Amino acid sequence: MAEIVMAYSASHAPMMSADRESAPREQGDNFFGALRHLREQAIETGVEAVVMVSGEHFSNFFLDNLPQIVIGVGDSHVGPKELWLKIPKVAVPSDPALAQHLMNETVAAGFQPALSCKMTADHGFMTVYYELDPLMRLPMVPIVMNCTTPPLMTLRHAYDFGVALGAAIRSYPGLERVALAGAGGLSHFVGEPRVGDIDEEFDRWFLAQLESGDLDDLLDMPNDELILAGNGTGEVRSWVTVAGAMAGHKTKSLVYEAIYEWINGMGVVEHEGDAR
Amino acid sequence: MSIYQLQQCLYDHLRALEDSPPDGPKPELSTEGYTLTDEERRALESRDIGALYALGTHPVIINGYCRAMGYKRADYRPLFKGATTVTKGKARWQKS
Repeated sequence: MAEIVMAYSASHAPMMSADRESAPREQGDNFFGALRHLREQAIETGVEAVVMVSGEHFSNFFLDNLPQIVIGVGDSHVGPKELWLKIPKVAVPSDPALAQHLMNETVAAGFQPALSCKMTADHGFMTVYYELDPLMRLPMVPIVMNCTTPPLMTLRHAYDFGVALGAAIRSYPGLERVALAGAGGLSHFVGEPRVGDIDEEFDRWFLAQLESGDLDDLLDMPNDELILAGNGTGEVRSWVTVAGAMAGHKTKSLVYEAIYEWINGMGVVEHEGDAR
Repeated sequence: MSIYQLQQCLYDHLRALEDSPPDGPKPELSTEGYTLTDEERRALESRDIGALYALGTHPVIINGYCRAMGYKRADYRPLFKGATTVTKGKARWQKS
C-alpha cells in the first residue's frame, strides 16, 4: 500500500511565477527556499506521484456547473492555462489509476466528488507543481475545490474530506510513495475594494493553529467569519484538507512572508510523512 | 437571473481573449446575445468596474477582467471608490 511520504501546503500566487523577481529579495528567497527544501525531499524520498488540492478559479468550471470537489481522472492535464505565467505549457502526466481509486474510496467514505477526464491545470496547481518538479514529469492527480462561490464547504467539511482522502491514498496498492500537497491561500483579496490587502494577523494565527495540532477553533469557524480574512483566503480549504489527511502527524510552518508585491500572504507548512 | 448572464458575458470574453492568437487583434467584449438589464449592459459597455461589482459580479471574474484590461496586482483598487466590502468585521484571530 502507498505511504504519504511527504505532505505540505503552499501559497500559489500567480506572481510567484509570472513576476518572481518583483518580491523583495529576502522575502522571495525565504519563500522559494522552503519550496526548494520540499523539492529536495521529494527526490530524497523517491516520490512516485503527487496528489494536489487547489481552489477553482473558473478555469475548469463556471456558474453553469460548479461542483464543490472534482478529481481529475484523465491521463494528463494541460497547464498552465495562463500563458503569462512564465511556466512552459505542457501536458502534465497523471496517474489515472490512482485518481480513480481516490474517486472510488472517497465516494465509499460518504463524499460526492465529481470527476473530470479533461481537467486543465491553472496557476493554482502549476505554480506549486513547477517548484516541486521543474521538469514537470512527476505524475500529478489534481483535485479542485470550490473556495469562492457560496454555498461553500466549511473548513470542517474540508478537513473531513481530507481524512477520507488520506485513507484513500494509503489504501492504494499501485504505488509505494505518494506526496500530498495543498495549494492556495494564505490571505488575499481580489476583485473587490480591498484588493491588495493581506491579513497578516490571520495568516500567523492560521499557521499557529496548524502547528498546534488542536484544530477545533479553526474548524468551528463559520464561512462568514473566514471571509473577513479576504475573499480569496477560502483557498486555505486545501491546506485544511491536507491537514485532515495528515491528522496526528506533526506540522511545521517553514516560512511566512506577507509579499504585497504579489498581493498575497505567502506561506508553506510541512507535515511529517508516514515514514516517520 | 440576468446577473448570471452578465457574468457569462464576461467569462466568455475572457475565454475568447485566451484563445486569440498572441500577435493578432484582441476580441472586443460583446453584449450581443445576452439577456441583460439596461444597467448591466451599461456597466459592461462602459467597463465600469465599480458598477459591475455593485451589481454582484463575482470577484474572481472582476479580477480576471481587470487583468485583461491591463491592470496588474492591486492597481485597479481605485476603480472601487466608494464601494463597500463584505470583508470587514470582527474575527477570532484579531487581537485588537
